[in-house]
Amino acid sequence: MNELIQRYIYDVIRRLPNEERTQIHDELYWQIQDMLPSNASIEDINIVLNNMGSPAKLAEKYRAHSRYMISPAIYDTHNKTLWTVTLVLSIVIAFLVLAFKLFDVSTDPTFMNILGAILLSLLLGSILGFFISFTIVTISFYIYENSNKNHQSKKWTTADLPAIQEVKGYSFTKSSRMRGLIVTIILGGLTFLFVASLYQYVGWYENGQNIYPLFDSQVMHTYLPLVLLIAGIAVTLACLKFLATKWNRWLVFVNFVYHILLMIVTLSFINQPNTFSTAFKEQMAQNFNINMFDMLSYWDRGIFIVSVIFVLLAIISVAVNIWQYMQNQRQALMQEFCIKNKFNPVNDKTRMEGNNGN
Amino acid sequence: MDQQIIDNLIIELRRGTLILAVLSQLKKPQYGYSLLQKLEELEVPIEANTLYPLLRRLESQNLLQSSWSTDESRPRKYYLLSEDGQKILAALTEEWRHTSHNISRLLENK
Repeated sequence: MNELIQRYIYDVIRRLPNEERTQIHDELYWQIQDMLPSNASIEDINIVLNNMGSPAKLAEKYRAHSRYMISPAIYDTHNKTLWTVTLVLSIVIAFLVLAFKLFDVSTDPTFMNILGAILLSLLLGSILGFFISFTIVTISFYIYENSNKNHQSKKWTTADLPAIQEVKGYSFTKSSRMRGLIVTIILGGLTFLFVASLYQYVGWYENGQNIYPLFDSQVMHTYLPLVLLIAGIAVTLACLKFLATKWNRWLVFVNFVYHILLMIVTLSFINQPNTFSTAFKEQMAQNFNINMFDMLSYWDRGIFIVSVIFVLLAIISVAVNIWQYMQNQRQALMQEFCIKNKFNPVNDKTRMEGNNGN
Repeated sequence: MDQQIIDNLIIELRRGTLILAVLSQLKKPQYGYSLLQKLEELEVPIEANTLYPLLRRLESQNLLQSSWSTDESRPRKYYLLSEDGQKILAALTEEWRHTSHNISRLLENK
C-alpha cells in the first residue's frame, strides 16, 4: 500500500538537491499520511496523490524558482534529448573538421599540427554541436509545449508514476575483468617481445631474406625500457580493475596516467625521423613506381592520420572512464538515500501491477 | 468570456494573499494538514501541493520555526511564527489593510 506513496515521494525528491532530500522526504511522507484516513485503501491513496498533483510540478515548487521556458513536466525529457543531440552533433562536426584538416595538403604533419587539428575539431565540434542542438531542441520543445497549451493537457494521475529505479553503476563484470587481465598480459607481452626482437622480421623480403628491415634497431632499443614501463602500468591497471570491480578515484587516475604515457610514447615513436628506415621507403617507392618525394609525402600523411586517430581514441577512452566514474558517484548518493529511507527499487512488472490496481 | 482566463486571474489575485493567510494562522503551532484544514474551514482553501512547499520556504526564510512532535500516533512537524515572522506578519497586515482600503475605494468610485 505504501509502495505508491514511496514512488510518489521518490519521483519528487529525485528532482531535488541531495542535501534537501531527506528533510522533504520526511515532511512529505507524514503530511501524506495525515491526509489519509486510518486503514487507507489503495483508492484513498490514489485520491490523495492525484490531488497532490504531478511530482515534477511539486518538486518545482520546492525548488522555488519558477520562471522557465520549458516546464518541469517535460524538463527531464528536454535535458536528455538536448544532451543526446549535442553529443551526436558534436561528434559529427568534430569528425568533419578533422577530416577536412587531415586531407588538407597544405598542413604539415608535425606534432603541433596534429594537436592543433584535434583541439580545433573538438572545440568546434562541442561548441557548434551544443549551440545547434540547444537551438533546435529547446525551440522544438517550446513550440510543442505552447501549441499544446490551448488543448487541455492530460491531467497527471498516479498511473504516470515511474518505478523506483534500481541504482545501476558501471561495474566491471567478472568475465570482463578476467578477459581484460588476460588480454592485457598477452598484448603487453607481445608488444614487449616485438620491440625487443620480433621487429627484425618485419621488412622487405627477397629470396626469403629481410633485406630492408622496416624498423631501426637503435630506435627500438631506446624505446624498450619505456615499453616495459607502459606494459607494467597496463598490467597493474588490469589487476586493479580485477580487484576493484568498479571505477574509483585511484583507478581513474592510473588509467589517465596510462593513456597519457601511452599516447606520448606512441606519438614520439612513430614520429621519430629514424624509426622507419629510409631504405625500406625507397624500396616501396620503387615498387609502386613513384618518386621518393611523393613516397615521403604519403608516408608522413599516413603517420599524421594514425597519430590523430590514436590521440582521439585516448581522449575518448579517458573521457568515458571519467564519465562512468562520475555517474557511479551520483548513483551511489541516490543509492545511499534509498537505503536510508527504505525505498525498495521495483521492476517494471511490479509497476504495471501497481497501475492495474488503480 | 473564457472561463479559463477568469480562473487564471483569480488564482493570480489570490496568490499574493497566500503568505499573509498562512502566517496569520501560525500564531499557535500547527502541523501541515491541520493548517490546511483550518484554512479550508475559514474559506481560504489552499492546495496541499502549494501549502507544503510554501511552509518549507517560509521556514528557510526564518519566518517560521518548526519542531517535530512524536507525542501523537505519528510524527508531525509543527510550525510556529518566529520573531521575524511576527514582524513580517504585522507589516503585511498593515499593507493589506492599506491596499484593501484603497482598492475598495477605487471599486466604489463609479
